[in-house]
Amino acid sequence: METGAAKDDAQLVEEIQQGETAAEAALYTKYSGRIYYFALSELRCHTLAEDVRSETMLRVLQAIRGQRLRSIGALPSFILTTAYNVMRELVRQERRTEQLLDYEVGDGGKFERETILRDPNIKVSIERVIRRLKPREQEFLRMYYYDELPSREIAERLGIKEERVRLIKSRALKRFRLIYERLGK
Amino acid sequence: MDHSEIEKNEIVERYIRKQLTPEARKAFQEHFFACDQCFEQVRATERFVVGVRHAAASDLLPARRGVTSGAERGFPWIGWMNATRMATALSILLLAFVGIWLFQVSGLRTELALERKAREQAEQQNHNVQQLLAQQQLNPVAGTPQANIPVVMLEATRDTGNAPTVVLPAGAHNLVLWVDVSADSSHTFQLRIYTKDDRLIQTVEDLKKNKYGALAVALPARSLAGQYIIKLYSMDSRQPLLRAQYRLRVTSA
Repeated sequence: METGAAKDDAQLVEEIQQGETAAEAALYTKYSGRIYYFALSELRCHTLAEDVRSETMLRVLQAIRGQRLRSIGALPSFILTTAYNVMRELVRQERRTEQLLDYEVGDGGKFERETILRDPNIKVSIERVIRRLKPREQEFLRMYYYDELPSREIAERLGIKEERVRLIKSRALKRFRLIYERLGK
Repeated sequence: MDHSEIEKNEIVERYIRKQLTPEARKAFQEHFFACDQCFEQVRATERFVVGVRHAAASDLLPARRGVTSGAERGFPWIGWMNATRMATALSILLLAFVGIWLFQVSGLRTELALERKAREQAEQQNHNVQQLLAQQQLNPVAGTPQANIPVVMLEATRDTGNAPTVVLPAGAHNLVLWVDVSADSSHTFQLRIYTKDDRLIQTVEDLKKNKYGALAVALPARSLAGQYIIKLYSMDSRQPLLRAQYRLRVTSA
């Protein structure tokens, strides 16, 4: 997969170095979503994530045009590193501490819910899927993803062996995806 | 970081739930930056996790309290066993109740049978007594013919002196009292027999005049010895009307 992606990246890089704007647009289309997602998950701010995306792609394109890219195969890593640097700079500029980059959720997941579920269709679809799950699957999902109980305790509450927790999770996820796809989302 | 490692270590989910070390997190980020498949999986998994959390917060996923029963845990055979045990226990209870009920019914039936038998015996005894009494009553047709039955003609008197005396011959079964009422226009009479101290011992109802214009009353002679006051009542009106009073003394030969 990565080899194939590198070839596509190689072609895009070459075309960008030749001044083709279509290649730049293609590169932007390919990586901007990832950059935005990454920035949003780290900064929890749509505005800042937009800024990070814009600034990161700008720097990447400038680097490609200036042939400052060391390795085409390292393009994804280069983009990610650039995004990291842009984020830090923006954070310093906004006078926020680097603790924002710590991996803690301080708002009870509200940011994720508002971001991920702001599309009402997604929200409704997920609710429909969950209602179609078996009661045991629902219980498991709540204990695992919401209560965040350890596997040992989940196994105890469900009256099963701890080794089976992973299997139940796998089945629950599978059923969730299956139902979600059937509902057309 | 390759896909087998990602799948084996559940990297995607752990990334979403922020359970990776900083180094592992960065390594995976570098991976999904380049991997469309993993990036889509990240987005889908995040959508799933956030959706589940939202559902739990909205009470779409009810909380479980305590340990589940065996049947709920996916061991349906335990539920089946419990149901079987319960059914067996209920069956035993039911049989016990039925047995007790049958035993009681049986006892009641026996009692009922005994009661019936006792009643039949009493009825038979009563019938026998009635027959005996009927036989002992003065009925020339049904009873044994008797000769020399003593007959006493009662005469009304206000004399308080010695009462008329009749001597019953030995072996006499009956005594006939003869009362002349030809002068009385009443149709129905009643005779009341009292002891000398005015204790009523016998009442004879529905007496009618015979062709001689007299009333004939037969009394059993057994234990008749004694002194008596006999009162005659007319029964034509609502209230009995005293018509005459007699005194009598009976002795045995």
